[in-house]
Amino acid sequence: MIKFLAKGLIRDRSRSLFPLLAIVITVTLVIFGIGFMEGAMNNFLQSTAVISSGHVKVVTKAYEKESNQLPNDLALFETDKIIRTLYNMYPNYFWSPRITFGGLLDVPNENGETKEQAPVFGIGIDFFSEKSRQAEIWELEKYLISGHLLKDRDDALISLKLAEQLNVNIGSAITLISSTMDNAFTTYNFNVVGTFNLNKGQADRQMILVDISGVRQALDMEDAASEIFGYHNSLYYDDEDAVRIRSDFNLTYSDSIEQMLRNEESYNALSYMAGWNKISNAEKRKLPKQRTDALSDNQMYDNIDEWEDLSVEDPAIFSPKMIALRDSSQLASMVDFSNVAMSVMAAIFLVIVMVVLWNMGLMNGLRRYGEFGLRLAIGESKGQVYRSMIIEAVIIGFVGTLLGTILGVSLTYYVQEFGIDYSEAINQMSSEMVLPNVFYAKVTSELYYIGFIPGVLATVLGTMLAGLAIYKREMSQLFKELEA
Amino acid sequence: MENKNVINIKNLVKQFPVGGNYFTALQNIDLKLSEGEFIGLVGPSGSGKTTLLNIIGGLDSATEGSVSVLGNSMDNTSHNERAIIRRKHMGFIFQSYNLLPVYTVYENVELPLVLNNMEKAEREKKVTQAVEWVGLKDKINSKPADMSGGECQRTAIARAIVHEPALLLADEPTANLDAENSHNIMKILSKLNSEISTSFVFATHDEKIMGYLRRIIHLEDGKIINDEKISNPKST
Ligand SMILES: Nc1ncnc2c1ncn2[C@@H]1O[C@H](COP(=O)(O)OP(=O)(O)OP(=O)(O)O)[C@@H](O)[C@H]1O
Ligand SMILES: [Mg+2]
Repeated sequence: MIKFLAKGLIRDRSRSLFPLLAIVITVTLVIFGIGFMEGAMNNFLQSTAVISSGHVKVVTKAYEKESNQLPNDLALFETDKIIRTLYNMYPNYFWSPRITFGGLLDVPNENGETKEQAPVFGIGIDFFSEKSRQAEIWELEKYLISGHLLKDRDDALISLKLAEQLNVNIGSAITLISSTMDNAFTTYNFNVVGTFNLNKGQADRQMILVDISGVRQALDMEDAASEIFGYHNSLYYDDEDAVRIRSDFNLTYSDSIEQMLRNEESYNALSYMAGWNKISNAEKRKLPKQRTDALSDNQMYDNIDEWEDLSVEDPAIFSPKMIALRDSSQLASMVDFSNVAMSVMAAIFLVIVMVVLWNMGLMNGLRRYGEFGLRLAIGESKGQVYRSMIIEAVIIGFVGTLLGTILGVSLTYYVQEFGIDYSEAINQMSSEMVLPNVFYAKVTSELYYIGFIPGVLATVLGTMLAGLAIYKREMSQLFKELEA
Repeated sequence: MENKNVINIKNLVKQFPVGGNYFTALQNIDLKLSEGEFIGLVGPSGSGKTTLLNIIGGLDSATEGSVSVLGNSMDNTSHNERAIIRRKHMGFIFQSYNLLPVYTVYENVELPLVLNNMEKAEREKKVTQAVEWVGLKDKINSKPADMSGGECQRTAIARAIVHEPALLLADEPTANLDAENSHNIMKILSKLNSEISTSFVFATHDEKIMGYLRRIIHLEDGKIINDEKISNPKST
């Protein structure tokens, strides 16, 4: 009988090929649609991630509290070591140190006297190391107005607006006036090698971009950084994963010093911290230099009570802390919005497709009442007919969904890897738009199974509903419909 | 020699719910049919022919009365049991042939044997024989769409008799056929009736085929108004 049904299934195109095609097409559409939306949503987050938040970032607790003042005296130490640890703990992410700094930018005349001066907001990025992939994700070549990208430690890119304000040209020397991380006054010369425009309104009005090696030199921040940015290797912001590693990191790593100082055993340590000299060198290094100097010089913390007063400003505030993209206040709602929007769109999409396939299953069943009636008359039981109907629907639904999933995921993968270049269309729109030129889709794990909901479930449910008539109606009635 | 009762109906009533009420399609039907009989249920449209045929075939059930077919009481058998009785012992012929369009003549005729789990070799023998019987040997691999109405109905006959059923039920088998084809079909059926022990019940209002019947049961408004034995039926 199975052979008999299989023959019918294969020969009757309206029973096999057309439903199969319908399922393949709709499942492909669902998968690609969802993959594309995921990718598009991610694009909006990605530019923020590149410029200001990373997917996650590591800072000191103290830095986080006052981050809007760019407090480099609260910066992270031993960044190489932390980055190594981060790579070990979270190999799915890549990590890059960054120094954001404020100061004055001074443009000297021929005599070395101030010609122009303006406040500046600078970002020192690890452009030169391959591993930190910053050149790749910044895509600065897209924003470059004139000149060339950074090649040398002392090269600087200056925003078009700032360049115009200060009247500097490519090749000019500019002097950064700022303070080192030990709060000492410092000046440092950069060479302007290019101008850029991030197309983000006023955001880059005072901006210069330099390599982190230059800033480290300028601000005396060897092996230190304001922040360490982490990005998922796929460049896809997976909110759940980011939140997971942030919680994990903060639990296991950054609290460790605090914990050590607080738990029973280190109470002893605390008590003989009265003599500051007895604290280990490693611990000391975790505190900023001026603080350790002050502590070493000052003999007033000779007893434990006074130490505890001091510990109101817990040394653990200099321990690293991880922050996920969503933790920045405005971004949380954006991430949530994008998640909700995604789910809503996916749900609407799924419902539409389910209705289509449900109907198809139903129509397919109805169309064949004649055949069912006949098979009942010849002596198949209702159960047999019903089961064979469902099995057919399951097979068609499954094969169709499988093909559709393969097609949809491949298509999504293609667009994920190569993108769809919108630059033509975007150029025709306002040039002030902050849209990326290339949209990427994203193959997420749910794409592998989401097609089965409409593809198999809806098809089979529709067929089941159509088949219920076999049970509900008197057989003779079923016949009447076929005789007509 | 005493004939076994193939059909034994007593006091049959069939009502259909219509709106909040009941429509009585059959009432006070008493009918006995012996092995090998060749009878017609004849009457105007709406007189209850199809309804009675469906009840005999177990496709529908009686509202009142007792119906026994081939020794099985149809009143208290399950759907599945009735399906098995049909599969093994009954054949159906319909006005509109009801061939499955995607299958060839051979496959359409084979279906009842497949349902009865017959061996492939034996199936082949029986199908070939049945197809020869109805004179469609050269069309055995054709599909219904490529055949005439008469050929389709002959295929349907082959399918109805291939498993040599004890009872063959035919609902207006000639209604869609012209005179020549109708006579052909009736000749085939009456020949079959004389060669195998199958009993035949026709529902019809086709005057052309009345002459082949050996017994005519006249129905009107759901009642049997006359049960007539024909002494000299046409034959092959
Ligand atoms: N499922 C049903 N529900 C309600 N009424 C029905 C149903 N089936 C049949 N009837 C009614 O029962 C009566 C007998 O119907 P039946 O189909 O048996 O007539 P028939 O003699 O076969 O007519 P025809 O020669 O037109 O085929 C008709 O009046 C019909 O309307
Ligand atoms: Mg009828």
